[in-house]
This record gives sequence, structure tokens and C-alpha cells, in this order.
Amino acid sequence: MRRLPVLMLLLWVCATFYVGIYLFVGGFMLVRLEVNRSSSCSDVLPPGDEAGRFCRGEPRFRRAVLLIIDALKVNFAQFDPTNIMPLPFENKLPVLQEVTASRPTQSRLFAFRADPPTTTMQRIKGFTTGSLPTFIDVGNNFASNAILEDNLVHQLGEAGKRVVFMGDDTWESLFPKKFHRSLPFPSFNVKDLHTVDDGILKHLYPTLQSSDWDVLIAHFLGVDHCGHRFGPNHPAMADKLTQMDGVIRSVIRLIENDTLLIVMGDHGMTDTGDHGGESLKETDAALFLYSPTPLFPPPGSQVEPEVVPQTDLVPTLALLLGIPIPYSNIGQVLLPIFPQDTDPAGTQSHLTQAEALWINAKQVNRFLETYALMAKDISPESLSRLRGRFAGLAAEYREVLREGGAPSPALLGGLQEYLGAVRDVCRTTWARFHPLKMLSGLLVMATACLVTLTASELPRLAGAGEGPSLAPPLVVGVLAGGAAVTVQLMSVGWAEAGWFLGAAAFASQSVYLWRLLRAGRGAKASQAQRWGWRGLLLSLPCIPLLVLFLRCASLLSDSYVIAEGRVVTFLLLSLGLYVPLRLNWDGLLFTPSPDPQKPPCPFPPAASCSPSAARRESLALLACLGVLAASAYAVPSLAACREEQGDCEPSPLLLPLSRVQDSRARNLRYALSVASLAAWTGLLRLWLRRCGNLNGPGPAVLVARWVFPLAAVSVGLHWAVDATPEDTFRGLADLIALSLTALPRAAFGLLGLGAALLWLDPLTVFLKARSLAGPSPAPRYRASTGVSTQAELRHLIPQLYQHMRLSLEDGAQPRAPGADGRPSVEAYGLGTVYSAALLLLAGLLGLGLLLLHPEGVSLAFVLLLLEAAALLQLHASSSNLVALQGALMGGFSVPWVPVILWDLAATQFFHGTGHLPTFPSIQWGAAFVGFPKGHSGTLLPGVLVTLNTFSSHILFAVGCPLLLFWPLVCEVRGGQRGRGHTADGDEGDETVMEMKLRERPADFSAALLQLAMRFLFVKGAQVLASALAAAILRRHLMVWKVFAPKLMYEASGFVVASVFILLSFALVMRVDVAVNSWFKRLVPEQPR
Amino acid sequence: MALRRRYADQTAKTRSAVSCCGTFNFQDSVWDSRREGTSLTDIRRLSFLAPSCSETSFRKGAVMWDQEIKGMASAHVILAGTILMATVMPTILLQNFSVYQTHLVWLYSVAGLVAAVNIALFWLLGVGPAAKRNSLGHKVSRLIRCCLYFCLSCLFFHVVVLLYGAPLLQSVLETFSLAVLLSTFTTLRCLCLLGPNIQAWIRVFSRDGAMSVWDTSLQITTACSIMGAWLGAFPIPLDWDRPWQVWPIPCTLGATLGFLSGLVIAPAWIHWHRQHLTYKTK
Repeated sequence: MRRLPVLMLLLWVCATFYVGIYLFVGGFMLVRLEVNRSSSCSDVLPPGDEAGRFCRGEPRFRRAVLLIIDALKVNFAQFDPTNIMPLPFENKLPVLQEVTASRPTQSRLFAFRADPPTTTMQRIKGFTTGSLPTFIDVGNNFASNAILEDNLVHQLGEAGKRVVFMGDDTWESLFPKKFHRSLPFPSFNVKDLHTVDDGILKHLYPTLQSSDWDVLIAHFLGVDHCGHRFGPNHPAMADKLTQMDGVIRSVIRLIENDTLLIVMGDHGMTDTGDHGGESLKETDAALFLYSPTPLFPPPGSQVEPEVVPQTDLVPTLALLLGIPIPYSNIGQVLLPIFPQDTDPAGTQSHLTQAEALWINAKQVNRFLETYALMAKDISPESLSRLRGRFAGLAAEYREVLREGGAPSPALLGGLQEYLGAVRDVCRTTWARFHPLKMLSGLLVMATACLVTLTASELPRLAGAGEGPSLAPPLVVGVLAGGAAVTVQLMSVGWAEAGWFLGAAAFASQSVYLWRLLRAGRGAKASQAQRWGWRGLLLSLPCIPLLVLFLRCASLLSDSYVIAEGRVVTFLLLSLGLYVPLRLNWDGLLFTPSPDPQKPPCPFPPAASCSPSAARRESLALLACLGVLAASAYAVPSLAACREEQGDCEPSPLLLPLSRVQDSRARNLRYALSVASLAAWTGLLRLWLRRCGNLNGPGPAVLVARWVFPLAAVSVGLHWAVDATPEDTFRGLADLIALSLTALPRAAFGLLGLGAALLWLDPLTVFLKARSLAGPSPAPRYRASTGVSTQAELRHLIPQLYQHMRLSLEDGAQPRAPGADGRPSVEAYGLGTVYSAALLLLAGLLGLGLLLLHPEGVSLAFVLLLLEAAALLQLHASSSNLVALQGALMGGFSVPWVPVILWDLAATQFFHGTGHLPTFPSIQWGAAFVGFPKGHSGTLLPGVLVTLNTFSSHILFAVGCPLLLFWPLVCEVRGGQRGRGHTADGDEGDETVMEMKLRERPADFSAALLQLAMRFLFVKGAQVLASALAAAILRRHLMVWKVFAPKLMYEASGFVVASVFILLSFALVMRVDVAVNSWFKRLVPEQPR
Repeated sequence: MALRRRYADQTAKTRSAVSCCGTFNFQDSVWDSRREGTSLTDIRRLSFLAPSCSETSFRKGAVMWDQEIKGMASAHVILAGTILMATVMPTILLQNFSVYQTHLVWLYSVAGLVAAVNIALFWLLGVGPAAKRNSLGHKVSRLIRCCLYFCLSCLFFHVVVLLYGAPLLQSVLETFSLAVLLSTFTTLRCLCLLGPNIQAWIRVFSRDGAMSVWDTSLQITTACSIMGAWLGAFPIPLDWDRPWQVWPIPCTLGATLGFLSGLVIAPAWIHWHRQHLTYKTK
């Protein structure tokens, strides 16, 4: 069998897909240019007739206290006295209500609307720079790096203000060395509700009472972490909010007259306590302003905004504190804070509303001009419209100034409208795309799909070494990439990696495709058949590919993406039902009583051709379909819910056990989880044992017998420890903390060890030499079910390998066909040697992935096992039925139907394990399994979260080669199974199961390659479709909410799955190597 | 009796003539035997003892063939008219009737009328399963079995629709009504044509299973109804908020439209392929 070429080919195809994805995502994901300029008080803002007046006037406040309560949703801050039965998060901050009611001129409570993405780092960036974060920033949450744009902290430092910071250590990484004093506390561990808050509280009051500060920023994380850990509807949330209430009261009591207090949330949270998206629940936080001296007009005297955009804090705070507005700000000053007209007494020269707005408008205009010079992405029409608007307003304003009157409300309205318009224009243009890159990415992906499709239809050429080799395409690819780089260097002076890769991938694909098709035409021409594109298209089965097409088409509609879980189930069931219908249409299912006019069995006249066998297989097929339908039906009820799905209840099993408050329910849930875990382990072991793969002393057998159950036990123990409420065993706290670290790490270690052992020696074969042959004329090697008592004790299903006998005859005693005294050899588990290794790997991986999930998901894993088994058996039965009718196919080709079903099932279980293609639904908790204290790097948590997210893709990718082996494992052994001694006459038809593959290495590698190509095509077509959807609908309302996340999930799912496909195919090759060397060892061992 | 469709060899005229001859005589005898209750062996004898093929018998066969297609087409036209009637009649008879608002009324009027007309048509045309015995007890037991099978098929469709993602407890009645409608369009016709004989049903839905134009038409209408209901599910997830997107309206409409198109397609398809279609014995 050609191992290396097949693997290389797969690797190359995957690499071209990656290049296509890279190019497309590079062109699709938004990039906003950062303007790295800073404002200063001496700046002259155009139109510059009032030089040096950027930060004019007496600052309204000398000092400010900024209390940021992470995830302080607007509902949390509201107080409803009529509510007698408040939920844990309701009515817990009465101080805000009391103060705004009793001192209405000193305080206000606003809804504070954040811009998506509502992740903490982006929010800090947003409300310090006054700019809009872009989509690509979402990924930076783990490695937040310093803000280079002009921002409030920088301006405060420039103005000589002493900024003291305490709390979330994200700030420290965003503003390194910018603080006068800083007390950061670790923020990453969401399970820790108290460290950050207690650390702040220890230092907050002493600092406030000292005079060593001008601006104090305190960022509390407890509320956010409580939301992540328990959700808002939990007593812990009530405690946390009450604590915050006390903090606000104390701070109000402590601050002096020259100090402004700002209490704000950086974002809200969903009903499950998560955030990151753009639903109102996530974006709307609370903003509370308090000044010991009157600041606001009396309520009702002015129109006040209902909702304050988060960026508006930046110019407001800057002007109140007398510092220049940061350069890139596009926020608008909060007008009610500023007096409507100058103090008639003239004692204080505070900014009026008109002056503040005018400065704000000039600053925004300057930023817009600078940005338009640097980047060309704002459309010229809207730019000239904004310029015209500003010029008109400026002329009007200066006219008013010259006349010495007060600006009219209409002028103020015009300035506000201008600022709002700039904000809107920026918001739309920072959805900027690179169409050429997107197009070339699509092209490369489409060609990759075409390559996989063609190669899967010509497997013998691509896989068995009869076709073109990979070297020339690669050479051409490198040359083309070089040419692209040269052209770039000549034209623009610098080269970009994307174009090199794109050109190389496309050129190599085209050359390979051309050579493959030419070879295909040559091969078919000899068989006097028409060949070419039409032949290729005609040879494809239409119904399964129609289902795949529907699946791809469904990615172009937001409604279908939102309902993806159900859509996939629908398609899965449709394709599943198609199998028996099609078999019946072909007259293969429940074949009618044998035709009297036709010979009952055309060829070979083996026992397998009995109608009863067909009947049994048909029944098995229908039973499998039933299991498939039942598990497919159960899966959607295990899924989580998108916010867009109105009447949807997320599965209660997704809640981590520690959040379940009723102890009885918790115990039941735990029992269910452990039972599922036991089922997962037990079923796999049972199957291996049934196939006789659990005998002998080999390392792989060791793994299956010991490492596998041991790892399962530690997983179960870890769940128990993890679910223990913190307060129950105070004396054992250390032990619990230790086992929270040790148990999962032990499980990871065991699984890693198991995988390593499996790779070292993947054979699960037990060789037993029998000293005596059976009855004298009997075959020397025969099926021996139940003959050996030892074998019976071990529940062995011995497998006899025909080929072994032949090779032994040839090798050992070529010219002595005599039967006397020759020992026969029984090799237990040889017939399933390939699939056993794969199953073992999948089982180990499954345990590891289960550990990364909430406990309740184990039920989904068992369903996954059942559904996968049903799919495999369905495929095996239908292959058997086809084979029974004598319609024997040439190779071991796996048809399209099971491959597409396999992939649909993977998508279905992506939802079934509680995942959704949205960013807020990422299960960050996975990063802390085994690392409750958090991480220092970003690689390990990233890997853990990725494994958690794509667990079902991984399991189905690893199991993919089973589609090839299963029909051989389950082939119909006509009538001789389980009937010990009937084997005498049927020597020619002995079961060799997967060893058939070894006998025909060329067919084996061709079939393996074909299967991999088909699977990659199915996956790649979906990535292509979602990329197409994102490209076509890039100005769609739902693009950032639905299509872009879907694309990211599809693309990363493809990358992860393809890596594991390569891995599992490599394991198959590894087993093949081991089997070959095993045979080599065996032959000389035979006694002469 | 295994039957098969085969492609007539256009070039070999004699062979074609022989095959046609055998076929059409056979068709005649089936036609007669079904009315008179001739046994199967009689049919076979008749068909094999048929006189050698000549031009006249060929023409006669062609005429019969066309007649049969015409009969089926007119039956289909009547069925299609029934569906229209079932939609129009309640608007006249009932107040506040609309297909969307009072959907179940429409559904059951269609199902009931189609069932009645179907049974009447098959009984009048006599295109039914050959009765082996004519005793009253046998007939009654057949009738009971037919009813039982119909109910079972309703349950079966209900379960299948549930598996496809219909709500489990909400709007059970609607889901079951869809199952009833589907059974009317598919199972009822099977019952009328083949009798309560699952083996025969399984046989009909295979490539070589059709024994007459009626069987072919059964294949086509059944497939079209089910495909229609399947396609009808597609618009449900879309967020258009139209009145016809409410469960199970798209599926029932899809099934009805599918059945209607099946009624149109079946005669057309058979007419188009009549040169190639031969229903003949072994």
C-alpha cells in the first residue's frame, strides 16, 4: 500500500484549503486603521480662528473616581419599589435610586450602550479612546496588548494628573506604565468571584482618603465572574450586587466637592450570564454620575438622552477634567452636564453646551480629515456630505459668535446631528472588505473542492499510484508563487505572504487537476468510454449530493443558520430514509422469494446468498435506521439556544453541576453523567472484546484494558469534586483544590500515555499456536469458535486468516502440502485490527473531550456513539445487501451517502454538545479544566477551548476511516458463524474481514484516499458555501451576527477536522506498517 | 409473479412486436381477470397461449393501451377537480372559511373528498386487487384490515413527521391531520389498488415492480405527494412571518400541490414513455 504518497496528497489538499481560507478571511475580516496621533492643548483645530483654545476654561472637576463594575447590566441598577419578590439580581442597588431621587441635580442614571463586540478588552478600548472597535479584535481577548491610539489615560498622564488604578489586570496590559500607581489583580479565572474585588476594597478607601491621586479607576470583576459562573439568577449574584451597593455608598460618602463619581458597567449580560454579542441585553449597561455639588439641570427642564452611547463618556470626561479630547474620538459630549449658557455672574468660566459641542465637533472633524487622508475606505460621497455639513455649521457658529449672541437650539441640534452622522458613517465603513482577496480565496477553495471531487471519482489514479505524481504541481506552484512575489515587488515594492500562497496553491491545483483529468481520459479511453467533464458529472449520484447542496444552500440564509440544528437533523433523516427507499427501488431490500426462472445465486454459489441472510440484513438495516432516527430526534433537545431563537429553552443538562442548587437534582444529574460515562467506556470495551481485540500482552491491549477505564474513573471523580459546593467541606478545601488540579491532569496524562502507546504498537492481535490440527482432512487453519476452552473463557471470537496460510505455505514449506502435524495458527482480533486501533483512539479522545465539557454533555456523547454506530451499521448493511445480490463492486469504495451522513451527524452533534456558531457561546470554562488557577500563556487555553468547541467534528473525523472498515467487519458470513464445526467444507469462503484490504494494497490505498477526499469535499463545500454567504451578504443586516461567526466556525471546524482526519489516516497507515512487520515476524517463526 | 419493465429494442422490429403482442394480450386478460376473478394461472395460460403476433393485434394492443392511459388520465382529472371542489365548496357553504385560518376544515374536506372519490373511482373502474374469494366474511375482514392499515399508516406518518422535527406536544392535532392527509394521498391509493398487502406495496415501489399503468401512476403520485410535503417544510424556518408559514400549512399545501402535480405528471409521463413501457410477465 502506498502510504506516504497518499498522506502527502491529503496534506497538500488540506494545505490548499487552508490557503483559500486564509486569503478569504484576510479579505473579509474588518480592519480599522489606527490613527497614531495624540491631541494636545496647544493644537489648533480647524477652522483655526480661535487658537489655543482646545482645552480652554476652568476644568469643572479636579478629580474623578471611575468605578467600573464589569457586566453591570442596566436592569441591575434599576430599583422597583413595587417588586416584593425580587429575583437575585433585582433591587440590589437601592443606593442609585435613593441618590437620584433625593439629589436630582447632583446625580443621574442612564442606560449606557456599548458597541459590539461586548468583550471587556474591547470595551475598555472603546471608552478610553472614544473609537469603535472592529470585529477582528474579538480574538485578542487572551493576549490584550497595549493601546497605541490616543486615549484618556494617556491624556491624563500628559496633563500631569496622577492616575491610580486598581482591579482587572487587563488595564495593566492595555496601558503599561501609564499609571501613577497600579494594583492589578488576575482577571482570567472566571471561577474566582472575590480576589479582584477584595483586593480593590482593601486599597480603595485608604487611597480615597489620601491625597495621592487625581483620577482613581477601580474595575470590579465579581459581578461578571458571578454571571459567567452561576448566571444572574443565583444567590451569589445578590450577594455581589449588595456588596457593590455598599461600595458605592461608601465612595459617595468619602469623595470631596471637587470630585466626580462615575459608576458604570462596561457591558451587560445575557440571561445565562454571558456576553460578547450585540443583543440589547449584552450591550446595555448602567451609567451613574454623581457630583457632591449640583451638576445637572433640574429634571424635566431639558431633553435628556434615554440611552448614552459608551463612546460619549470620552469627550465628556475630557472636557470636565480639562484635558484635550483624544484624537480618534468620535463620541459626543453628554450635554446635560454642561450649563446651557455662561454663568451670568461670570465668576467661573465653565464650558457651555455650545462651546463643548463646538470643540467636540471640531475635534471629530479633524479626526475625520486625518483618517480620510490615511485610509481611503470612507466613501467620497459621504465624506463630502459631512464636510459640507461641517462647513455650514462652522460658518453659522462663527456668525453667532461675531454677533455675540447665544447659539440657537437649532444650531446645537445641527452640531449633534453632525456628530451622530460621523459616528454612523464610521460604523458602516469600518465594515471594510478587500474584494480581490476574498475572490481569490473563494477561487482557491472552489478549485480545492474540484480537486477533491475529481480525485475521489478517480481514486485509482490518485491513490494507487497509477496517476500523476505530486511533484510537478508543487514545483509549478512554487514558481507561480515566486512570480506573484516578483510582480508585487515590482509594482508596489513589498510582498505579502497571502498572495504568494494563493498563487502557489492555485497553480499547483490547476496543474494537478489537468494532469489528473488527462490521465483519467487516457485510462477510460482504453475502456472505450466517453470521458471528461460530462462523464464525471454523470457518474455522480444525484440525491446524496442534492442533500449536500441543500445543506450548503442553507448556509446562505440567516434563518437557516439560526435553525441549523434542526435543519441538519432534517437533512440527516431525509438522507437516512433515502437508503432503504433506494435499496427497495433497486429490489435489494426484502428480496421477494427467489425467482424460479433465475438461478438463485448467480455467483459465487456461497452460503451467503440465502434469502434469509438478505432478510436478516434488511431487518438489521431498518433497526439501525430506527436507532439513527431516535438518536437524531433526541439530539436537538440537548442543544443550547441562540438569542435569535425566541421560543427556545436551552437544555438543562448544559448547566454545570455546580450551578444546580437543588441537591437532589444535582445527585440525579451526577448519576446520569456517570452512567453515560460508564456507557461510553463500557460499550467501546464491549465491542473490542467481542472482536477479540482485548487479548494478549501488547501495549495497545494494555491501553484498552487499563488506561481507558482508569481515565474514565478520574473523569468521573473530577466531576464529583468540581460539583462540590465551596462551603460544604471547609476542612477539605486544600484537598479539593488539589484534586481539582490533579484529577483532570491525571486523566489528560493517562489519555496522552494511551495515545502514545497506541501509536508505538497499535496491534491488538493475540496469536495462539495450536499444537494439533483438527480432524485430519480438515483445513489446517480454521475458524475455531468455541473449540478452545481458554478461548471460551476469554470470550474470544477467533479470526482465521486465509492469506496467512497461503503465505505460510509459500514461505515455510513450499512443496509439502501434507497436513500432518502442522500447527495451525489462530490470530485473535486480526480481522478488526485496523478498526480496533481507530476505535481505541476515538474512545480515548472522547474521554478527553468529555472532560472539557459540562458533565451533562456526557449524555450527548453516548448518543453520539449510538448514532455513529447506527450510521456505520446502516452503511454496512446496505453494502451487504448490495453485495448479497451479486452486484459486487470492484474496490472497497465508500459511497457518498454514508460520507455525507457522517458529516451531517458531526454538525448535528456540534449542536448536541451545547455549542452554537456564535461567539458568546464559546465555553471558556474548558480552559480551566485542570488549571483552576488560570494560565500564563495563551496557547494552552486556546487549544483546550478549541478542542472543546469542535469535539464532535474531532470525533467524527477520527472515526471517518471506520466507514471503510465497517462493511468488512460486518460482512455476512453465510451461515457458518457461531456454529463451531461447520467450517469443514467452506474453506474457500472463510472470513478474513479487514485482512481483505491487506490482500489488495492498491485497492486499499485507493479506497482510503477516496474516502478522505470525499469527506474533505463534503467539509470543504460547506466552508466554501459559508464563505460565499459571507461574501455575497457582506452588507446584510445579520452579517456580523450570523454569517461572519458561522464562517469562522466552519473554517476553524474544517481546519481542526482536517488535522484529525490526517491523524486518523496516519494511524491507519501506522497499523498497516505494524501488520506488515507482524506478518514478516510470523513467517520465519513457523517451525519447519 | 415477477414482472419487469424493459426497454424495447427499437431496431429489432420483430422482437418488439412479439413483446408488445404478449404484453397487450396480457393486459387484456388482466383487465378481464380482475373483473371476473380469474385465477393467476389462467392469466399466465392466456398470455402464453396468445396467438402469434400480427399487425392487427399490435394495433389493437395500441388502442387498448391508449384507452387505459385515457381512463387513468380522466380519473386523475376527476381527482384534481375534487381537490379544487374541496377548496371552493366550503367557501360557499361556510362562513369565515379560509384556507389559512380554518386550515383543518380545509384539510379534512380535501382528505375526505379525495378519499371518497378515490374509492369510488377505483370501485367503478374495477382496478382493484383480484379477490381470491368472494365470500362476505372475507370481504368484511378485508375492509377491517384496510381500515386498520389506514390508521396504522396515519400513525406511521405522524411518527415520521415528528422525527423530522415537528413539535412533540404542541399542535398534535395539526400534525396528525397532516399524517391523515398524507395517508389519504398515498396509503389509501395503495389500499384501493393493491389491497391490504404490504408485500405488494413493497414490491410496487421498486424499479421493476409496476404491473400496470395504475401501478406506475401510484408510484408517481405517492412520490410527488411525499416530496411535496418534504419541500413544504423548507419555508417554515424563514423569518417572513407570513400566515402560510404556520405549522403545518406549508407541508399540507406542499403535499396537496405535490399530489396535484403527480396527477398531472403520471399520465403525461406514461404517455411520453409508452414506447418504452412494457408490463410483461416472465
